[in-house]
Order: sequence, then structure tokens, then C-alpha cells
Amino acid sequence: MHVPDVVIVTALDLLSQQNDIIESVEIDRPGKLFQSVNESLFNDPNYRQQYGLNNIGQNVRNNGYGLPDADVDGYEALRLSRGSNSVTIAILDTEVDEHIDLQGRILEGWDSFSDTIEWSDECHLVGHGTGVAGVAAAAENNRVGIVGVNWKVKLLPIRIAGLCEITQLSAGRGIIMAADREADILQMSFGWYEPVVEGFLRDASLYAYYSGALLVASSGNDPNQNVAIPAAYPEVMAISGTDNLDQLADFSTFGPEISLAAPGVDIVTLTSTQGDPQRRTTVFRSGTSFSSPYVSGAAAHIMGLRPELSADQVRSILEKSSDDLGSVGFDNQYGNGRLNIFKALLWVLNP
Amino acid sequence: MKQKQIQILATCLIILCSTETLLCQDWTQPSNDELTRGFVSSYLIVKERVESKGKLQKLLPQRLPLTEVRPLYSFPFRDANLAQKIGLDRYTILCTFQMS
Repeated sequence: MHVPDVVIVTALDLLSQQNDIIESVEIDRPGKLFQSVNESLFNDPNYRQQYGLNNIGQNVRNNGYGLPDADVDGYEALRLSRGSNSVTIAILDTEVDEHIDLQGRILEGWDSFSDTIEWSDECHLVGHGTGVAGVAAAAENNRVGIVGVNWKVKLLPIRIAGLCEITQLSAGRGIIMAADREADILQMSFGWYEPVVEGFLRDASLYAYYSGALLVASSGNDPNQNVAIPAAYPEVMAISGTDNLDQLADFSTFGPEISLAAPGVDIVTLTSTQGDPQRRTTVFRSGTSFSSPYVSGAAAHIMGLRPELSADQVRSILEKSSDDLGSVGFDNQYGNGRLNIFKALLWVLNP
Repeated sequence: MKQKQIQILATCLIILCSTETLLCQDWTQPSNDELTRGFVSSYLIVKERVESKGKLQKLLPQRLPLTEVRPLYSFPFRDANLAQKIGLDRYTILCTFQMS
């Protein structure tokens, strides 16, 4: 909906006349889900396509052969941990469908729009939230769909996207709700290309952070922009995207705020069931939306093994155990490096 | 349509703006006729100053007696002390209501 700038300016001016009682006024701005621009469907379980977990040089989607071991060592990590159902990841996104690959692990969710705006099914059908959840948590060898990073973690769906659009109001309310529902990890595949400033979204993020949650967010899908908020907040892990050669994805936003990189190109994951829980369709997607859930799933492994660790400690382990790419040491493209779950779990089990 | 607009209005306070003149009237209460012809065009997230917390939520209903004042987060915070420390308890939603 277009709002003439003059209307906004006038409204803000009127409010500024109350500056004795008002500290700040923000316009509730629309943001983006960092989802793919193209996708294709297939109907067969296809773990071999999941180079992100186990790259053996396979040619995914005929887009070129990969670099063996340019992956998060997810296959190796599963020898050390299958996950824990005592850990909860909040998926702040579109709806997470009752997909058979997530069966029994989806908690009762919350809808940030439910008390303000009538809901549209448009985004529900897109399946973005289900795809994000699939990367983090799709079930093990069940002959269905794909394999996720963490096979037992619980999922708390927090629907913050409506009409294929999110706003800072819906996102901030969702972040607070996820913290209040005691989610261990907040998975956020959305953002705004805006400077880091104080405001409602920042305050909501701080509330979740100081409540003890680990906040993980996608960096953005525009290399010409600065890292999006909330990923750019210091209290949030900003995740950029890589391809099957361990190169930074050409769409990935990067900058000094990047914590880690993770696969984000041609990621096969779950998609909407369109109301049929037995529907087993999977989909290829690209975007940093699908990079960050690798990190959330990995963090859930660590929290399951070592529940006494703080969110900061979990973050530190993930960063220290990553595979250094690009310039030696920290760089703006890969941050501390590309996620390596196997090394992270070794670090946890052999501190 | 009218029912939906009123439902939305009940969740926020109003600054009435005209699409034709692009002028906004402060503290305006739309008439029933205006409610059927207008729409909520944007939401504004307002944070009150610490020293005047609560004044806005008292002031606006005096000007707009039919609207319901709601905080931005309509649930009790699990950690109210933390929310207060950060200032989350000082937010209110306002909106611009635009005549079409």
C-alpha cells in the first residue's frame, strides 16, 4: 500500500509536537524474506542433492560439479549427535507446515498478525518457513524428503510474515513472543537494509538476547547492500551464503558483521504441504534464508549436548570451529569461516 | 469492509489524513461515514519518554474517546523487569487513517 511521503511527514510532525512525552516515532516499514528467485520441484527423496551437508563433488541441478568437502560436515556430525528434543528453535517466518518430515516436533505456534490483520494464505503456500525449518530439522532416514541438520530439535513456529511481507512491528512482536515462549534459538531469515539504529526491532532483539536466547539471522540477498538488520545487530549472528565450491554466493550480502557463512545456493528442502500432511514435495531454493538454519540446527546440537552453555558460548564455539575461507582469519565475506558442525561438536565433546 | 476497518482502528490510535489535500488532522476521531471511506495507511511505533511514561496513553483517549488504547505487545512480558529496563513497556501503536 502506497503511503504518500507527505502524509508520513505530516503525521510525524504532529507527533513531534508532543516531544515532551514522546521519545521516538518509527514508521512500521515492510521488509523482505531472503528467499530464492527461482525454484524447481521434484518428488523423490534426494539426500545426494544435499551438498551442504555432504559435498562429494556432485553436480547439483546440472549447475556444475561441487568441490568435495565444501560442506558443513553434517554427515560426519551425525555420528556425534542426532540432536535433542530438549532444545527449541523458534522459526520466525511464514507458517511451518505439518510436513511428515517434521512430524511430532512442531509446537503450538503464534501468529503475530492474529490480533490486527486478517490473514492471507498467499504466503502460506509459498512454504518459505517450512523450507527454513526443513534445513534445520528435517527427520532422519524416513524415506521422505530430505535430511536436516538436527533430527530431534523441537520447532516453535512464530508467523511474522503476512501477504508475503513482513513489518518491523510483526517481526519485533514475534521476537518478543519467541523469547517469552523460552525458545533456545531464534531463526530469522528476513530483514531490512537499514543502518543499525535504536528502535523497536532492536529493543525486541535485546530482550530476546538478554533472556538467554541465541539469535541467528540471514545477512541478506543483495551484495550491494550493507548487512541487513536484525543480522547486523551485535547480539545477532549474521550468516552469509556459500555455494558448492565454497565461494560466496553471488547474491549474498556481506560486511564486518558477518559471523559465519553456510551453504545457501541450490539448497534442497521441504516446501508447503498445501494442507495435505502426506504431501512430500521438496524444492530447491537459494538465498541466505537457507544458510542461517544450518547454523541454528548446529547450535541446537551443541545446546543438546551441553545445556549449561550460554548462548554466547555456543556462538563462540561455532565461530572458533568454522573452516576459514577467503582471507586468512576474519573477513567480511565469510566472517569467521564456513560453518563446520563436526568440528564444533568435537570442540564441545573435547573442550 | 467496514467491520474490518473498525477492528483495525480498535488496535491503534488515529491521525486522520486526507488523500486529496494530503493534510493530517491531529487527534481526530473519524465519523462513521469517514470510517467507511478511509483506510489505515500506515502504522507508527511510538516510544514514550521514561519520565512521562503513560501520559500518551492517557492523553490520546481524551481526544479520541471511542478508540481503544493498546500497548504494542498485548501480552504480559515473561520478564517484566527486563522489558522495563530495555524500554519495551513504553511503546504504543499509532496509525494514520487516510481518506480515499
